[in-house]
Amino acid sequence: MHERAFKRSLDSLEALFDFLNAFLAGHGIAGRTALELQLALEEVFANSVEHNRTSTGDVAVALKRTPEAITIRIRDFDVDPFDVSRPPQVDTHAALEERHAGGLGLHLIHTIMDRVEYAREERTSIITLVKYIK
Amino acid sequence: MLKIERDEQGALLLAGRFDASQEESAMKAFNQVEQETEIDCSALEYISSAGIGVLIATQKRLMQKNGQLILKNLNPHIVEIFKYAGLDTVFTIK
Repeated sequence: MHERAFKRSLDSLEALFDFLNAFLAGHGIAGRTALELQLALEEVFANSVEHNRTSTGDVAVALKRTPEAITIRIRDFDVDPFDVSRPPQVDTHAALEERHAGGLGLHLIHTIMDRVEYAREERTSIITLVKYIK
Repeated sequence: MLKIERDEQGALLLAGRFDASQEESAMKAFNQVEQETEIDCSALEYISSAGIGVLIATQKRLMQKNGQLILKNLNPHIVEIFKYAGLDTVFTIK
């Protein structure tokens, strides 16, 4: 896998997108698929930044292309468990007054990715996102 | 990077990428919106849940005053994201 570590900060997003987009461009992937992969990666990374404040370690992002799919693996070190493989309960038909942004990112990840997996190795969370190439 | 500008007709122009790193500065800009306002999204390339959250918070605030945001010229990929989030029914999208 093609892997790089990113500082745990929203300021890393630009470098994170550059890393992903260079990889996708090298594999001829653009348009809607590229946008959805960017979105899913941002949502997971931003979640790590915002909800794992006790950890000071970098977040490692690895990319892999197979004939069938693009796989993104995010490893977050020294963090408490949070199983993102369970889709959140988001009522997409609720009235505006009942809407809030909480849970929306995870809902989008589950909507646009074909597989969302979560694993733990001691205090490391490993999130794997898979998008099949049509 | 996200650019937010106001045109001569009072519409807000959004250009670039509305990601989580832009949320705080964008919220400040949207907090200045006090009435029904068109948002020209023709140069908006990308939006994530952080950007959508800013729009939702602004829409809620404006609707209490019978105002709203009107989103114009969204690219088809972004319209799809709004549909996935069920937000195509709570925003006017032109």
